[in-house]
Amino acid sequence: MSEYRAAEQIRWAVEAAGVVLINGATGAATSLSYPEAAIWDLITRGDSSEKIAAKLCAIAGLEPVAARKFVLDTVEAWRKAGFLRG
Amino acid sequence: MPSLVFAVPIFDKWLVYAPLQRVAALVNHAALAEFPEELRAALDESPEAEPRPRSGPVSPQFLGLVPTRACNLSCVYCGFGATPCGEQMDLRLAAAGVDWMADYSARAGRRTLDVHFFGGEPFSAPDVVDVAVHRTRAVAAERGLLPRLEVATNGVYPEPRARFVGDYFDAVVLSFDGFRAVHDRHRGCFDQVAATARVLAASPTELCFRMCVAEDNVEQLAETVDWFSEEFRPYSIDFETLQPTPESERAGLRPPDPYRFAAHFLSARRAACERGVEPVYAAAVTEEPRLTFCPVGNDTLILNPDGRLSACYLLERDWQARGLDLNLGRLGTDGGMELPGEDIERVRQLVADKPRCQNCFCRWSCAGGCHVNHSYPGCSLTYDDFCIQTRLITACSLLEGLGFASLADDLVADRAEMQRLALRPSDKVGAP
Repeated sequence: MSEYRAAEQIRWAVEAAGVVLINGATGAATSLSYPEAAIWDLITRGDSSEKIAAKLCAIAGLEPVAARKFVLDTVEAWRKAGFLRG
Repeated sequence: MPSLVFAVPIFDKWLVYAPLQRVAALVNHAALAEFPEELRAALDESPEAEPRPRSGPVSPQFLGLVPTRACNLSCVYCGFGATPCGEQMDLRLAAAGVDWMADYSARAGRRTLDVHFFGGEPFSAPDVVDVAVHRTRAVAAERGLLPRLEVATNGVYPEPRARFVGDYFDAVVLSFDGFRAVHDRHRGCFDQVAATARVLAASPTELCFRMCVAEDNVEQLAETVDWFSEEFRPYSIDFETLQPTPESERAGLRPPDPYRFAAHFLSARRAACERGVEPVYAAAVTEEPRLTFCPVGNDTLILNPDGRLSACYLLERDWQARGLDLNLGRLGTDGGMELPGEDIERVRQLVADKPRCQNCFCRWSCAGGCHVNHSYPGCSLTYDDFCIQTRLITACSLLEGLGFASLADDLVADRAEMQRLALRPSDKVGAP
């Protein structure tokens, strides 16, 4: 998977139970709970999908194959939603 | 007369202190022989019970995580012997530790899930920290707990990591020893630490500076507080005097003279308060009588990279050198917890036995300080530098609380008077 970054119009705030994404252009807010909130943090700090999947095994108690699929599916969904570019 | 009343001389007066009644008063010599009615009435009120070692099931206030003993710095006073490489905690072990604490916190009816990170430098094992932080937040959300994350760090890492720390940690204890010349002499990497401090200052985290005070920076405490406050707006500044190590001695760094430290701390404390920054000297907190001022004896569980659970975040070899065993059990990567009751009890009882403190008016505030470096079994019964500075600062705090700040100033300006107070072997009123 190629590297992804947050789309330019996306801002985010860390909250106790997750992360809130805010589209600066539209004002729309999207709440991410766990484990997606962890993926958002790790991807925006530049971790590769492999590294994120390895950490997600311990964060969410997933098997490696399931963690990898979860990361890829989540990233793809965010890309389609315009949260990520890359 | 109540049995646990202490008094220390302040020039021609006496500072009377009854920690269990939370009573302090400044009286003349005649009144010490026979307390005035109002003071007597206050002292006759039912005291709090003497603090006792904990009992019952283990009840940690927080889980301490040591992701690694490795460190990216080589501070001249560090006795940890840390190197940039070193064992890192298994990610599954970090998760298991968090899960255990979450289970405990939920069962105990707590509102928060408290996890504190120590090192080495915790961010020398960044993957472990990432996993533990997110696991804490994930399980806290599942269980309706509020995650409460704290870290003690040197601040030497790139800006994205500093932003993560500011966003995800509720409190950050950043080691920062002062102006460039001092910080670089003690620790190095001043520019990077200052850059991290600026990022943290702009974040929601509660920023605490931990300042190591040595002979070379003791004169600059108030000046440093002014600069810290103006430049970084920390929530608090914690003043800790240098604990001598073979490394610090080789570097020619010495602890401050305890009398000078007490005097300069007083000025620094005032400077901090004027600027809305909380000054901390942990051994002189008198709010609640206690038997220990650190995790030891408070049932805190420190999870080490090898799965050992201990009561103290210092190195095992350091306790062993003092004849102490502060190990409490073991946690496996599968979550299997061994926490023998006899080990918990052994450490709980350790904090009750401090012969040097028996007659000191600080016995339930300082509580003997560090169990490894200061109040270990068989330590000298004579007051040492830590005792001296703590006795002076505590007396000044009580005087200030009573509205006699200028008397505290006079005290720390008079070395002979400070010695009269600090070296007095027993403060008990009516003691033979």
